[in-house]
Amino acid sequence: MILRSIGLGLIKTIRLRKLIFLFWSVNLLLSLIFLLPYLSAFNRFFSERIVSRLLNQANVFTYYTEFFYFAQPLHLSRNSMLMGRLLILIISIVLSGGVISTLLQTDKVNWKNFWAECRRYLGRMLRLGLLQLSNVILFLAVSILGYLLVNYFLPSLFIEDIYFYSFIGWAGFAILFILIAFLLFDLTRIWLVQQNAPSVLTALRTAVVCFWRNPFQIYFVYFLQALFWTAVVIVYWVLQSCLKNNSVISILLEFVILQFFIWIQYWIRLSRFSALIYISEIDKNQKTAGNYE
Amino acid sequence: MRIIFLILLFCLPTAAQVIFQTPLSERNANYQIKATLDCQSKIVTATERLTWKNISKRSTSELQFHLYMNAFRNDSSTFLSQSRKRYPDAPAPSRQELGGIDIRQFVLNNSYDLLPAMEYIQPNDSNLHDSTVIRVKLPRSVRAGEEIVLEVEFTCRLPKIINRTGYSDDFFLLGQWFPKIGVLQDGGWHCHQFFPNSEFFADFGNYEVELTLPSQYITGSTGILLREERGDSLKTLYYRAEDVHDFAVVAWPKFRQEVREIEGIRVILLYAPEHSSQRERYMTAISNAIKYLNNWISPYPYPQLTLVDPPLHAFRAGGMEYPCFITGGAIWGIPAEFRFFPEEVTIHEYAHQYFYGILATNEAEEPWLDEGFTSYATLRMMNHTYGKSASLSELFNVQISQTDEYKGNYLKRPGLDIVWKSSWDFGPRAYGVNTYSKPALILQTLENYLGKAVMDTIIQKYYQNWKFRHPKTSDFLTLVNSVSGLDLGWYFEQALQSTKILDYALDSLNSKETNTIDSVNGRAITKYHNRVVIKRLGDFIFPVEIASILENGDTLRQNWNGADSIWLFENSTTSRIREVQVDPEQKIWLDLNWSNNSLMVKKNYFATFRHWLQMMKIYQQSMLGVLLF
Repeated sequence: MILRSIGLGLIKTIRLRKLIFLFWSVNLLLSLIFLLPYLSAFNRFFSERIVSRLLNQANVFTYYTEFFYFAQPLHLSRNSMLMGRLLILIISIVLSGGVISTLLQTDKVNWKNFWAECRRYLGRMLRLGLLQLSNVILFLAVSILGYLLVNYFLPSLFIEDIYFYSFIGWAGFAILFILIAFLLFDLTRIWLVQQNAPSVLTALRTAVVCFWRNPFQIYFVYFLQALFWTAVVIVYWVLQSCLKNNSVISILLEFVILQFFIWIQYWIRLSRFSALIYISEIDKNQKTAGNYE
Repeated sequence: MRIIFLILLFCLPTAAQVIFQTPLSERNANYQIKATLDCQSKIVTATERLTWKNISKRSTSELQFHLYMNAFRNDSSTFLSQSRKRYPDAPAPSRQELGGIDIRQFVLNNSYDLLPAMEYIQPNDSNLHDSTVIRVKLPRSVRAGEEIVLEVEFTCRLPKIINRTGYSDDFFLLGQWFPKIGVLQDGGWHCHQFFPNSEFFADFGNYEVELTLPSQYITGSTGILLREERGDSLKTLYYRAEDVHDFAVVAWPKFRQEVREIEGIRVILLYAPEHSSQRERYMTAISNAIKYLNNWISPYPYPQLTLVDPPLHAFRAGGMEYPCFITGGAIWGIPAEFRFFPEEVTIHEYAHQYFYGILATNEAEEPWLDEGFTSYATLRMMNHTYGKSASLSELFNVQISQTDEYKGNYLKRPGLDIVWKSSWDFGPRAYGVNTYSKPALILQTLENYLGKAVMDTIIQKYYQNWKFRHPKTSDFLTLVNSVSGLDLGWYFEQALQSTKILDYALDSLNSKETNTIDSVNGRAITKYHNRVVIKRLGDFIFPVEIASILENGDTLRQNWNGADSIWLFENSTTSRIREVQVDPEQKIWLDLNWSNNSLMVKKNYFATFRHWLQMMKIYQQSMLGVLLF
């Protein structure tokens, strides 16, 4: 079921590649807009100076420190870059209703329906987004509490490796917490649209039940997709390390490869939703069948 | 034969007591201390017999002593109150964690009770809550060249480990733990209060220390262990150190010990068991440092060095220097590519054996003389041992060198304060950069200006002329002028006594092609008219070299004294200029911004886009990170 769900997810999403293009183009557009002020700083620093040549020799860190310290436009664009991130966060919330509806219902993107669904679920997705934000606060609170507990219970004579493992253990727990929270919110988005749930909390409860019934299937969807993503990253690094970066063509080629890499990541992300939809539908059917018995 | 054997046997205990047949220093402050460390109450109970000789040219009617431990006696002491202001987030010690020292008895020449004549003084800040310095009025003056004997009984309550002294559970570092006489110099006492930034200053002498503590403790100290007497549960250790100006002891039952002979020096490494994997890193670092300084300056004169690796819970004991005794610092599992710990700290603290231990400068009044010179030595040793490009770290392929560290620190706070001033006068955050990083850059710039051979001669002569004495900044500056044959007052005045910033920038570069006809053969000649503008952005004036590199590979070199704030030079060349570099060999390490030292005629847009693309990668990927699905 896991492999089938992942496979079907990947196929379905590639059929709906217009969605992938939508997200990729938003990403590219915003990146270009918010990185344009950097170009002049980079140009002044790297094109006119010999530092780019010196960067391959000694004191590499000094040059980077000087660059970040003296490149004034870099300081100015820091806030605008943050704005870019905030903007894409809002866009992702706005589009989520349309994306999940499309993944649930069709094999073709109908933009009219897509925008209608975006509008329809906007309020609930926004509330879910805020809930997710509160989850971050909860996570921070739990993390700080954990840190304080570890410090309190470990006496001053602690043995260093125990101390180390305690923190590593705590970090492991934190990662698990993030992952579970992340996948629960993903499932909630699906159930919100799938059931047209009037309340975010109702959808969240259904998501928790769904995860409770299929923990390994859902976990392995994430796990295997993470493996797939890692493989893509490795291929990407190998490809870009092969490029010499000393001609217009090689720089353009690297740019294209980067965009393809970003595109693939959106594909993986959207296909994960598709895979989760498949699992949640099976879960829904099993539940319905159970009710008949 | 039997007679010879008997004579040898008779002489052996005496010979074992003496380390140097000929004294290396004036030995005017000699201590005999009998101390007992109560590991439960964290209290040292001791008697101290100090034989002190007035080696100044004047008589004195009073004595001044350091009671450094009283810095931790109450929250209002200068040390703790200033620490709280400077580091408000640092946890304050609780009442049980405070320390202090009490003098029970104070007798002069076995006859005069000095206790009633003892008073706390605050020579630096008039803080009446500070009791780190005492003054004792004498019944009669001690004449120049006269020797007196003082017997002091004291108890020292150790604080929870702070500023490289105290206890942490069953770990003990006894630093600045006994009443220590100040230095009578130039007609006055140099005995300053203990400030968070200030370190120490004392006269040379011999130390005979008897320390009684529980038998299970493993110890190390400034001195050589002469013998050990074991009782039922306690043991007494007999240590001796000669020609040193302080005495530190470390004790912890869990220490492991490794002893190696390096260049004739007995190196004792006391390390925490959890750091056993880093034992070799410590030994390699100390071995490299010993060899380097033996060659560069002079062989280490003492027979022994104790290197202490404190456990993590006593990390505040790390990174400290005492004579023949240094503390390093390591963290369990730290990768070998990351050399801030234990390599850099070990090398730095060992360099202090020369620039503090032997050249016993006044760390409180002129802190740059010990930390600055030590940082300069660290820079040389780290770059020599681990390579110039990544001497400090190459973890995850991020290359950080010792130069990067010092330049980075200086870059953040370039004009915050001057270098040559007392430690307690530094404002917040100004001490570190002005005593460590900037002086290292000043000395490296001086080395590059004078040449390595001249600088080496200066350092070697500085050592030879001033070893086991108390050199001052003025002594070093006089020596520099004498060895180099130059008057470098203009440099030191700007570097040490001003906040002037040194920054040259290549402002513009134009190369215009002109065609003329040769009057002799009538041929067309192509020449390039070049116009270069260089600016001095800071007030610091320093002569600088400018290199114009032509497209045909030739290099034209010119010198500019930097006196004016702007310099324009024009010339004609038969080949087009490719680039111009100010300070092409990067000799001026004090230059705040190396990046603006060059310009190219032909723009390298590849470099721009290559680096911009890196930023694009990071940004586009980070955009994916904030996506909610």
